[in-house]
Formats: sequence, structure tokens, C-alpha cells
Amino acid sequence: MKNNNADQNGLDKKNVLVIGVAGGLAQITIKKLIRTHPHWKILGIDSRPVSNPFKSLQVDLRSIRYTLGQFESIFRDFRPDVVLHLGRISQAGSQSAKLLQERLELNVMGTKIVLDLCKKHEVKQVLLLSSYLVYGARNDNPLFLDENSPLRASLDHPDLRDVVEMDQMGSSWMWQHINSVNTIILRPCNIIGPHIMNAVTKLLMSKNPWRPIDYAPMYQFIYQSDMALAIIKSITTPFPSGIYNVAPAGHLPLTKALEILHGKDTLPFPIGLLGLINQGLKLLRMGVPDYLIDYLKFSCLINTGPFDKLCEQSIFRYDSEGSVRALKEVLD
Amino acid sequence: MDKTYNLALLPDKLNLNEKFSKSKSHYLKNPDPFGLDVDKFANTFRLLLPLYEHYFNVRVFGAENIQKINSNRMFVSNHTGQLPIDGLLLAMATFLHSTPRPIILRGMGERFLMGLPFLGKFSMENGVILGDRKNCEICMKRGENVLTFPEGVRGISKSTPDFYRMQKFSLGFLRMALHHKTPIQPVVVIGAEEMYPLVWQAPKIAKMLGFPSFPLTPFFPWFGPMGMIPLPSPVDIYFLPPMELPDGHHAAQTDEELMPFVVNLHKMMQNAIDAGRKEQRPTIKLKKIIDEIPPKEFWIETLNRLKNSIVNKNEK
Repeated sequence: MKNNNADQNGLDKKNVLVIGVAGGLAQITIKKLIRTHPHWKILGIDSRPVSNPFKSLQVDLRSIRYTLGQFESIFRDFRPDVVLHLGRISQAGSQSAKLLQERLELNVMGTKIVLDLCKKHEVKQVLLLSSYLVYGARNDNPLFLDENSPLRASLDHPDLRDVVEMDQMGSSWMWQHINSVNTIILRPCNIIGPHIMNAVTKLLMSKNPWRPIDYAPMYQFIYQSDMALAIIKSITTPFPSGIYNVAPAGHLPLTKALEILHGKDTLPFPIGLLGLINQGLKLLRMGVPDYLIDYLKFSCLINTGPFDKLCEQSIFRYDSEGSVRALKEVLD
Repeated sequence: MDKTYNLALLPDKLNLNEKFSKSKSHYLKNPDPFGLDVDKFANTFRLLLPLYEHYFNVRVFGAENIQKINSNRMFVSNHTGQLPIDGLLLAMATFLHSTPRPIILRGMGERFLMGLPFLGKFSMENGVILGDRKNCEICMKRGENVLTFPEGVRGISKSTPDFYRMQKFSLGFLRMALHHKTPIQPVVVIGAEEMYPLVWQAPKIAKMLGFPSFPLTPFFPWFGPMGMIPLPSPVDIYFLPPMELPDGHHAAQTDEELMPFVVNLHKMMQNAIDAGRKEQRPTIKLKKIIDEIPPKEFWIETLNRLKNSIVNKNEK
């Protein structure tokens, strides 16, 4: 008789496919999985170059071309039981039209291919990593946005279209296959850490970052290791199929986060003007992604009620302020 | 008004530090999620206190109605004066006169205000929150005292012919109060209209610019931002007796079922305004300034002297 707690004890054997393994979060998640579930076999893939720091026969990391054929081969040979799709290409990079088109192809169409293959190969559990960005930072946001709040990010920022469409596609797929596949979509707040390369972490870790003087947005931060714990907890519990906002307790003004990290070594600047001069600043490598300007002006806090109900908040080591202080310790 | 309200004395300024300390220790135990910074609130308060005391010469009546409060209330006020200076003065009066703990009112700010650079930040740090139902619910669950203006933008953007006539109330505030079983604290502010005595609204210009309203006064927009400086109109604030919620009513009832209570409240507040206007002080300082302006003959003589001096200079 199957022991319901076997998953948590890691005694059951499972094949776990991790997409986007070159990313910092994926690597941290795998490192924790190896410890907690030594009987799970893990295959990590990415289109970027990948090195394998794990001295374990349990883990195989590969760099592949993201083509339908390659994915089909992976699914056919590896037969994953669980797919962790952590491979969304970040908005933090270049904003060129060419890269935007590439991101749309990979994030949206690539996700569709992965989900179709999951269905075809009877994958039991799928986890999609989305982001709180999908809600959009606007002056009329209520204090906390819950999972039913409309996804308004792409209304103001076409460069967030791919993350919104990927999320919506995942939701739609989840409902279509709710009886056959356990699908979990996580929308975390800002993930920060020395191995995370999203736009907010880049801003926080940059030398002399911009400090808004005309707006005071509130931020939630989750440390990289805590986010990895959230991913593992959601698949091992397992959570029922659904969409879950993920954030630790507390939130703080962005200015306070910058003060913790940099003290007075920040550039006070009216963010309202930043939009006008951002294109020029980008040439000097001092600009920020266009969509980020709104997130530097307005709050976009998420309510984590459903996640908290299923999972003790104590799994997180740090609250929002603690996450920033943890990053500070690493930077020092 | 059917009762006389006692004029409250301005609390001793030495007590202000004690009041700020009490507020700060309250918010240290319950950190505010909306961005209120009690230190910045204290600094803003001290900066604005001379305006409260001397420029607007605020008088408070009925302060006994906000003393010894043992639970949170929903403060409901009329809204006038083109800019939310009435809300600012009301918040200051409430902080000064409420006991046992000085209340920092959480005003429901309009989306336009909260989106403005600097002003939005300033408002948030001093207790204003976005006027959204969810935010109001969070506030009330936390036991905060919320300040609402049921007239909305219609109230604050009255043209001169509509001064001192309260506009229609929306019912949202009542539904929120019923849902959280929070008593209502009516307040009326008299004197804010005279801060901009001659006003005509230009709704088409407002719509074009994306503003909630666009008032035209003798000074604004002709003198630019300087035209927005309010006149030193004396302000009277009346804290009316708190109203318990009607029995047998709940938040999900229809508008028709809740309307009698709202009509009653509206009438009570309008009566308070009408009675309060009989005690209203004119803009004395303005009268004094006007009285001290020299007569016409002085100006004619001065101009003639100036003309002569210029002519003499040219001849030389």
C-alpha cells in the first residue's frame, strides 16, 4: 500500500525534469532536492551552457537546443514524473525588439511545447514558475493582490507580454487537465540572492543604485533559498492544482531596502523623470528596463493566503526585511 | 444643531511629544502595511501646526465625542475647498484631541492623488491610503480609524453656488461600516469653502488633462502654482455624537433599505453645517489686511511722484 508520506521522506523514486537549470534558482532547488530526496533522479536542461557542480550520480545536467525534437527525445527517454519549469527568460536583459521576439517564442511557445509533452507522456506533476510582475504595478493597486486579481502588466508594458501570456497559458492548461495532472503555478514576489539575476536583484546589487525620492513603493522579497524551499514544498506536499502567490511575511519600502544594502551610497532621483531619460541612460549602461520604472513608483504586493494555508509560514528562514539583510551579508 | 458643542482648548504643545511617542509605540507593535511613517508624520505635524493654529485658526467643537474611544470608528465628513486641506486639518484636530491614544486618521485618498510624484509619497507617509475597498477592509480589520468623504469628488470640487450644500452620499462607507460593525463618527468642517471663495469648475479641461476636477478661481490658473495658495479662512470643526449602526441591517442589503440611515446622517450633517455657519468667523485677517491697504488718493499721489521723478531724471 502506498505510504502517503513517502514523498516527503524521499523514499519514493521519481524522475524530475528541471527546465532552466543554468539559472541560480534551479541549481539551489536541485541542491536541496538531492539532500531531501536522495532517491529522486534529476535531469536538468537549459539552452545556455551548463556545468554540473553536483557530485552525484542522481543528477544529470545538459545543455540542449530548445527544439521540439530535442524536447521529445528528453521526455521519451527520461520519462519524467515531475516537471519543474523554471526556465522563463528574464526581462532583465536587453530590451531590443529582436530579443523581445525571442523571449515571446521561448517563454510562450516553448512553454506550450513543454505542456503538450507533459500531457502526451503522462507526467503526473507540473510546476510553472511565474512572477508577481504579471499583476502590474499601478497607482490603483489595492494593498495586496490576490490570485484572482486581473493580470494588468501587459496593458502598460508590452515587454511583459510574454510573462503574462505564459502565466495565462499555464492557467488555461491547468484547468483543462485538472483531473489528470497536478499543475502548480507559483507567482513569487521579488526573488533576491547572489545567484539570482532578475532586474530587481540587479538594481539592488548595483553600485550606487537609483533611489526614488518622489515615490515610495512597498516591496516584498524572498531569499533564493526560501524560494527553493517553496518549490520543493509545493511538489512534495503536494499542493492541489492551482495558482499560488508566494512571499514571506512582511514588506518594506524600497528606500529602506536600498538603505540596508547601500547606506547613503545611492543616487536620489525623481523616478518620474527616469522614464524620459532612460533611453539615453541605457547607452551609458545606467538605465533600467522600461517596465521596471512603474515598479519603482508603485507597489505590487501579493496576498499569500492559499499558500500560507497549505504550508506553514515557518518554512521560510527570512521575512522580507530579513531577505534583504541576508543579501547584504553575502555582498559584504 | 440641537445641542451646543463645547469649544475645545488646544492641548499643551508639550504634550505633543507624548502623543507622538504613544503613536509610535502603537505602530511599532503593529507595523503599518500602507507605509505610514510616524516620525515623518510627527515632523509634518510640527511643520503644519502654525498653519493650523494661526493661519486657519482652527476651532474644534465636540471634542468630547472623540475622547475615551475604546474601539475604532469610521469618520465621515463633508468635503470642500478644492484641495483636501479640510481633511488635513481634520486629521490634525483628531490627533490633538482624541484620547486615550491619539488617533492617526487613515484618509481614503483618490487614485489621482496617490499617483502624483512627491504628493503621493507624502500622503502615504502621513497616513493616507488609496481609497480602495480592499484597503479600507484591511484598515478596519487592523482596528484603524478610517476617514471617508461620502460626497467624493463632487463634494470637494463644488462651484461657488453649491457652497455649504452637501452633495449626495454614496453608500460604500455604510456597507463597509456594517460589514465590520464599526460605529460612524460624523464630522463637519466649516470654513474650507472660503479658502477659494470664487470657484467655477471646468470639467472639460479636467477631462482633457486627466484630472478629477479643474477649478477656475480669480488666481488659478492665471498665477500658476501661486494661485493655489489658500486664503486664511478660519475653520471650525464639529465632532458630532457618534452614530451606532442601525439594528437589523447588514452590508448586503439593497440601496433602498440602507438609504433611510444615509438620509438621516446627511440631514444631521447638513443641519450641523447650517447651524455652524451662524457661529462662523469671517476671514478676519483678510479684512484686516484690506482695512490696512491705503486709500485711493495715496496711490494716485505715489504714482504722480514716481512719474515726476522719472521725468526729472530724463531732463537731467
